[in-house]
Amino acid sequence: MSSVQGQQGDTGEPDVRRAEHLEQIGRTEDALSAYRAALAIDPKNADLLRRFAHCQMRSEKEAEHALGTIDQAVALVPNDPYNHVVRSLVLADQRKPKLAVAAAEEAIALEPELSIGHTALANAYLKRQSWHAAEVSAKKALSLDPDEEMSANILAHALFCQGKQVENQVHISGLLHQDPEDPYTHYVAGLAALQAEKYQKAEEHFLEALRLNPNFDAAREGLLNTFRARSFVYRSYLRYAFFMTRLTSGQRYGLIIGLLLAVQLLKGAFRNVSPGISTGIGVVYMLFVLWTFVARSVGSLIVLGDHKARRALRFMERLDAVVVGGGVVVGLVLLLAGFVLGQSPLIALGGGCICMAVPVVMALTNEHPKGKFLYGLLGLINVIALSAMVVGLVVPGLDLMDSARTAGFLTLIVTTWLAVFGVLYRN
Amino acid sequence: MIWAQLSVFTGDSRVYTLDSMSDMESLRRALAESPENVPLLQLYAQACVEAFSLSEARETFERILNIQPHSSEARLGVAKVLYFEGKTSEAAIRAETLVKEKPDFAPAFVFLSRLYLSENNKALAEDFYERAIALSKQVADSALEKELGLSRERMEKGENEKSGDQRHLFGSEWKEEDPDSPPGSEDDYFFDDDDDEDPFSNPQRDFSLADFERPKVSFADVGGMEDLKEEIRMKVLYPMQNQELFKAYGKTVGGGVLLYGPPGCGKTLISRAAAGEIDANFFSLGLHQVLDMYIGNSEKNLHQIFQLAREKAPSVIFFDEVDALAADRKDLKQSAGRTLINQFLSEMDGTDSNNEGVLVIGATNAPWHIDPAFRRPGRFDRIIFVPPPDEVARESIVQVMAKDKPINDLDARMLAKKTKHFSGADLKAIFDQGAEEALTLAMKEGRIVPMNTKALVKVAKSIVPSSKPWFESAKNYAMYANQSGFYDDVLSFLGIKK
Repeated sequence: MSSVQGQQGDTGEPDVRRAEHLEQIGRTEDALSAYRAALAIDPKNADLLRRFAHCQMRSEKEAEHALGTIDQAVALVPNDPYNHVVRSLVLADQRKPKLAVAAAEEAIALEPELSIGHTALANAYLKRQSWHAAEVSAKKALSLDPDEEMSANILAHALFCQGKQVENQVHISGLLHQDPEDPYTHYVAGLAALQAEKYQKAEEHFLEALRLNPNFDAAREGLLNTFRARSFVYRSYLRYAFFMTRLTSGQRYGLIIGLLLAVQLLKGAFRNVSPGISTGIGVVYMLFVLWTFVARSVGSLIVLGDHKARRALRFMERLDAVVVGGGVVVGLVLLLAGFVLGQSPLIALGGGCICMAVPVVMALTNEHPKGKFLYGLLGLINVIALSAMVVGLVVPGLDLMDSARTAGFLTLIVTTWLAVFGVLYRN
Repeated sequence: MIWAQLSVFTGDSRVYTLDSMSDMESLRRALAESPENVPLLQLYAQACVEAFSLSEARETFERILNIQPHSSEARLGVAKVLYFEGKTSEAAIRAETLVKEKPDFAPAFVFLSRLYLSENNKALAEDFYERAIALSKQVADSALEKELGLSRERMEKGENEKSGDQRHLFGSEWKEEDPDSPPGSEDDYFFDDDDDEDPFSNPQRDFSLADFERPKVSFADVGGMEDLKEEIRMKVLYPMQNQELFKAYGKTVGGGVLLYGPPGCGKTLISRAAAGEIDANFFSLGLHQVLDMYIGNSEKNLHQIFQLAREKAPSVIFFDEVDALAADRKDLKQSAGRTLINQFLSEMDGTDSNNEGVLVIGATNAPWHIDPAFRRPGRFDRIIFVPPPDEVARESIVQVMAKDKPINDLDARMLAKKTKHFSGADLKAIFDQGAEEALTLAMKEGRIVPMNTKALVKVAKSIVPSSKPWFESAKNYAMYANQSGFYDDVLSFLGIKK
């Protein structure tokens, strides 16, 4: 951490010393108070401002103010590469990867042999999902300082995202040997094991990461993934997700649109030859799309059945498992029963459940406030449509089925298209 | 608290009760109701300075000046904001104009002293500070004095020469004015006369029994929490009170007890009350009393305290926020702080001395930051979870909070019932917010509007218990890092483990 903070221009101020100590032991809020006290005495100290910004970045309450603080430090001493390094880290943390790359490049321009500058660049590339560039920068940082833990972990992450399993395995083994008490290394080791479908190993690494840092949310998510992977539905989804991770965002969109066009072409080609095959292609495609949306929720539903594993689920994840996972399972059962028994109302209700599940999962797993509202609204429309279907079935003479079915289907289409392009969605 | 720290710079010794961004929000709400209320505006502006929202602070100070063009506080506030913005000259001109017009306004002199000190004009800074102290001792700023290299004796002398008053002890008077600041407090700590001549000298504190105050509270002063008190009696008090019996069984008396739990739930109070129950010397220490800016001195301070406690046994050493002194060494890597932790371990073990009759009590709200080595036998081997106050305790806290406040028909039991998991600090927040709302109404209606239970319950509903995030964190530790069963009490409290 001290390397990120830059050279310690020891001011000798007791508050600074106390702040550093408190920051080191993880008492971020107390450290911020001590930094404030030091800054009150010396408000134009760029070193202090940089350390304060770095500490703010780690605080839940003050992370949003970190950029303003580091900008002040940069304004005071624009030629200090450490200021640009921390600025890059802050920008990357605030999901501004392009600006983070620029800031890291500024630091490297000022001091090309500064390892932490290359680490910041690797971190920014990682946030931009430019895996190869992240790998190159991390390797450069490690060539300058082989003990740089952050770049070593970034390298592991970048290798994982590119699916370079063998190289990653060797790298992670080295890291674990060097520091078996680093939670982040156990986390990337867990991810690598998950990718290699060694679920038991992955679970061990994630649990170790959580033992070392129980508030490490990504490790908890990894652990949940190993639990969810007990089901075939989620295992296959993980394979798909790992495959998609390796692609650039352009390639991903190309694949999705290409697949849609291919389905339409195939459906058209078979329509006159064999309408059954044409319909089958459409159904398979729809199931595939549905699966990409709800596999996680269905996986969580299975985890919910395990009295030990379910403790790892948070409230929203439990809600997601019950409403979405449960909705999909009930919907599929109703659809199947409807087709077998030839009961169109059951088919409609089953379809209604599935239509409801898709926007709801987009709302429940969304961190974007406006997106949460929008997808929540679409989900509500489908809940109303589903209720209308039930009311229409119960109350004689009230025919709401057609309009409810249309509303549900349209909402589903709108949701999937918005979701494909990640509109108002952040997870 | 933050403001108190900022006041180190501003030299403003008035007491503000602002301590968080949520206060800013409540002030904003109060101001929306009462936009011309100058004291409220003043509080809000100070809060903005505290939060470094300088443009908002300046705007607010200027609003005050529109209402009261001669407000010295607001004029000084503008000068301070200018200084923070880096406009030092403009800040100096404004503050100097202010002291010319209001030559008895001491805080402005302190500000000027700070300002000139930052400009390396020590002579002028010293002059302004001495003039400030001559006007009012309440603005005394020991941190500034230290930076100026002024000794207390010199300040006393200078002050007496200027005022012509009878000589009196600066230190003791300062303590009388600030009863909450214990001897050996932060200000006292950084005020070191011996340090004046040689800034590179290695000053070290000399502790004595007089530095520590014996607690005047006992379990009778702590409402409710009977189970916890009983646990402390069994694990802490009875062994200390029946030393001979313990010796007969070959057991040593002393060792360590760790109290952990969410913040604001009375760990410190109950520790002091426990010490008050025993006929033993009591040494209460905070991080600031041990940590020293010079390498090696923190360790020496710690040793000295332990040595004193051994000499004065039976004794109790109480470390508040012990996680800061007993931090997990893996978090510190190559830091110099590791040696302090090693020293602490060695003192607890009594490697070179006998710790018989020395009980160490540590309190923390972050037990996960404590080095596992501290949990070994002979160190903090008795662990006590201090949960948020139970209903009986909350009822008594409510009654204490309600004292001397205009409240109609207080139903303390009802409020206690509606505030499950609330800490003492949260209960205080209910009363503070309730008072603010009543005050806003009173200002609108021009008469005293008393608070009532219904309004307080309504306020309680809007407050999220501060223990909630603690339990979220603790739950994670209890689930994933509970190999030794350290967090079993937390799991039991949360109903996860029976």
